[in-house]
Amino acid sequence: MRMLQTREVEVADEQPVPSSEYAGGSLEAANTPKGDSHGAAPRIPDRVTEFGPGTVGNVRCENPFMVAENVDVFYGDIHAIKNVTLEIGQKEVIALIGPSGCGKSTFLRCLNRMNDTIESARVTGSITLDGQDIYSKSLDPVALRARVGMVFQKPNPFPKSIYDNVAYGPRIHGLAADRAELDEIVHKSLDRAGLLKEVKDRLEEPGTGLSGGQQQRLCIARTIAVNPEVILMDEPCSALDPIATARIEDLMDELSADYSIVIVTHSMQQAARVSKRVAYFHLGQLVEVDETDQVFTNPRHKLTEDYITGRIG
Amino acid sequence: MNKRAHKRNVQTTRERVEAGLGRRRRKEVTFRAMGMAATTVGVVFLLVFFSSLIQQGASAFRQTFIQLDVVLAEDELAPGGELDLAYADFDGVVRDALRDIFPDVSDRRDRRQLYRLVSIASGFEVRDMLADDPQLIGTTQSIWVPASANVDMLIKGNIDATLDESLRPVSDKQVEWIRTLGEDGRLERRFNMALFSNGDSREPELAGIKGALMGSFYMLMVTLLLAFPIGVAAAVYLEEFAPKNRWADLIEVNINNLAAVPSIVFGLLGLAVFINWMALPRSAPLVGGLVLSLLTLPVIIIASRAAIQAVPPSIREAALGLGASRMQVVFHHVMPLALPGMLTGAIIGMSRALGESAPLLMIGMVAFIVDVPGGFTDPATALPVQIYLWADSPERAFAERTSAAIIVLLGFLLLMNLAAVIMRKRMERRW
Repeated sequence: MRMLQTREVEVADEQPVPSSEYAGGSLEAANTPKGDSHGAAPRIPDRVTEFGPGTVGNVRCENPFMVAENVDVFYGDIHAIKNVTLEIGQKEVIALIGPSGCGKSTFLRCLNRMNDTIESARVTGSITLDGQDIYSKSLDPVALRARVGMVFQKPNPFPKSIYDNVAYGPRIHGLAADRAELDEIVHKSLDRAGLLKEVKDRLEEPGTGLSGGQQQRLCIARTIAVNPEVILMDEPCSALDPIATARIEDLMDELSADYSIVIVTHSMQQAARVSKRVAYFHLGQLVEVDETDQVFTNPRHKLTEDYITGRIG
Repeated sequence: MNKRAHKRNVQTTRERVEAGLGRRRRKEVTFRAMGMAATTVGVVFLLVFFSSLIQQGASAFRQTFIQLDVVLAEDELAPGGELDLAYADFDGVVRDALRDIFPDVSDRRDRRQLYRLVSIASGFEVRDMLADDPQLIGTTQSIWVPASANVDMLIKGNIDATLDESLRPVSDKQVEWIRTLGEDGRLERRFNMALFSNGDSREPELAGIKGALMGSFYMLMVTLLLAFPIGVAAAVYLEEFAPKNRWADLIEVNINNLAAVPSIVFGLLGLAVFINWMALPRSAPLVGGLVLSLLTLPVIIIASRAAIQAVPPSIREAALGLGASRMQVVFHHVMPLALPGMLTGAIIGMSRALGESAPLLMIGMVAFIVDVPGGFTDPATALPVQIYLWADSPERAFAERTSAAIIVLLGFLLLMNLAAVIMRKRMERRW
C-alpha cells in the first residue's frame, strides 16, 4: 500500500516545480530524461535553493517501522525540531547528518523518549513504533527503551565488570530465567558485537579498563543483549580512532540484518558507507531525505549539496 | 617607511614581552612567598596549639599512687563475724594504715591533714579487694591507693613547694610526709585508669571521661541513625526526582542557610520541641542526638547532593537507554558511585556533631552527672561539655584533665576525619 512512487512528498512551498521530480524517485528515475511525456524536462532537476518548511526527497520508505509525523520539539522557548516527518524502515540503516546544533541528536533522542529526562523539553506530533504511539500515556518509557536501544557518543560502560555490563539489561528486564541463560545471552551479545574473542577470559574485569573502541563495542553488546528492535546510535565513532571506527562500521553492517539502525554522524564517509538512506537536518528542519547514493551524488537541495561538499558545517 | 614601521613593530612586540617578563616573574615569586607565609602561619599556630595542649594535658594520663600496708583485721571490718561490704569501715582501715606509717602524728588536726594525703576513694580500693577475695580478711595487704589531687599536683610540680604555706593548698607538714613517703618508696606514678573508667567526680583524682564518652557515643548513634538516612534520602530526592522549579531553589537556599545557623539555635529548638512539647527526658543522649541530627542534616544533604552531581550523566543515560527505571538508575548506578562522597560527608558531619557543646547546654546535658549512662534516655553529658565543665572547675588538677579530655576529643575527631579520607581514597572509582 505504501508505494514509493505514490507517496505524497512535502516540497518547499516556494518551489513551483513539477512534482514528479520530487516524488521520491530513485536516482535513475530522476536522471532519466522523460522527453516523451514532459517535453523539455531538464536532465538534472534544478536544486531547491530556498530554506523553508518542508522536506525535499522522500521521507517515506518501503517497509516503515518507526514513523515520525509532524514532530516538533521545544526546549523551553527554543524550537529545536520543526515539523519533522520521517519514516524509518525495517532493518534499514538510516543516517542523520547535518551541522552541529541542527537537531539531529534531538530527533534521535525523541525516538526512545530520552528527551523525557530533560525537564524543559516538550515533544508534539506523533511517533509510532510498529503502529503504536510511543508518546501515548499508556506506554511506559521503560518498555519503549527496551525495544529501542541506544548507543551514545562517548563510550559509557558502567563501572562494573564486563559481564555485569552486558547482563545489566537482561537482568532488569528479567530476560533470563537462570544463570546459564544469562551466560548465554552475555556470550552471544559479546560475540555479535565482535568483542567476545578479546574479552572472554576476563569477563570479570571492569569494563572501564577496555580501550575506547572495545568500550564502544561493549556498549553495543550491552544494547543488543536486551534484543531491541531499533538501535539508535548518536555519533558512536566520534571518540574512536579509524581502526576502531572501521570495526564498528562492519558491526553495523552485520547488525542491520536484524535491527533497524538510526545513526547520527558527522562523517559523510561514514554515512555513505553504512547507511541505506540519509536525512539531512538544518536548523531544526529536515531538509532532505533520500537514498544514500542519491543524496551524495545528486542532492536535491542546495543546502544539502553545500553541506556534503564541505561548504557549510 | 611602511616596511620600517612594520619591522619596528615586530621588534617592539618581542621587546615588550621581554620587558614585561621580569615583572611577571616578580609577581609570581611574591605570590608564592605570600602563600608560603600563610601556610607557615597556619602550621605554626597549629603546632603551638598542640604542643601547649600536650604539655598541659600529658601529665593527666599518669597519676600518683601511695602504697599502704592495710591490716584487714576481722574485728574491725566484720565485728559481727560477717563482712558487710556496704557498711564496713574501710576508710578506718586506710586511716589506720596511714597512722602506722607516721606513728608520731597525734594531733587531731594533723591527723586530718595526714588522712587527706590519699584519695577519699581509697576505702573503695580496700572494699574492691575484699569483694574479689573475701579470704584476705585477717591478713595484712600492701595496696596502692590513689594520692589526693593536691599530692599529685605537688609531685608533678604543678604546686610550688617553695611558696609560702598560706599560698598553696598543701601544708608544710604534708610536704614533709610526702617527702618521707617518697624516700620510703611508697610513692609511684602509674597510668591513670580512673580517667577512662570513671564518670565525672568532684574529686579530680577520681574524675574520668567515661561518662562523657558514652554520652557522646549514644548521641552520635542517634545522630548517625537519623541524619544519614534522612539526609541521603533528601539529597537523592532533590537531585534525581524533584522538579527543578522555584520551590526547589527555595529549598536549596534554605538548606544552605540551615547549615550556617548557629548551633545554639538548634539547642533552643530542641529545648522547645523535644523537651517542652514532646516531653522527652532532659539531659538524655536521645534528645542530644535529635538536636545534633538537625544540626548535621544540612551538612549531609549538601555533601550527598554534591556526590550525586559528581556522578557523570553518561552513566545515567546509559542505564536509562537500556530501559532502567529512574529508581533503578538511582539505586543500581548513582548511589554506588555517590556513596563514598555521601559517607565522607556523613563522617564530617558527625565529627562536627561530636565537637558541638552549645546546643547541648540548652537541653540540660551540662549537668554534673557521675554515673556512666547505660542507654539513650539515661542522664548523660558529652565530651565537649565535660571539657567545658572541667575548665570551669577551680581545682588545679582539673586543668590538666581538661587538656587531657581535649586531647582525647581531638584524637577521636582525627580518627573520624582520617576514616573519611581513607574511605574516599579506597572507594573512589574511576570512570
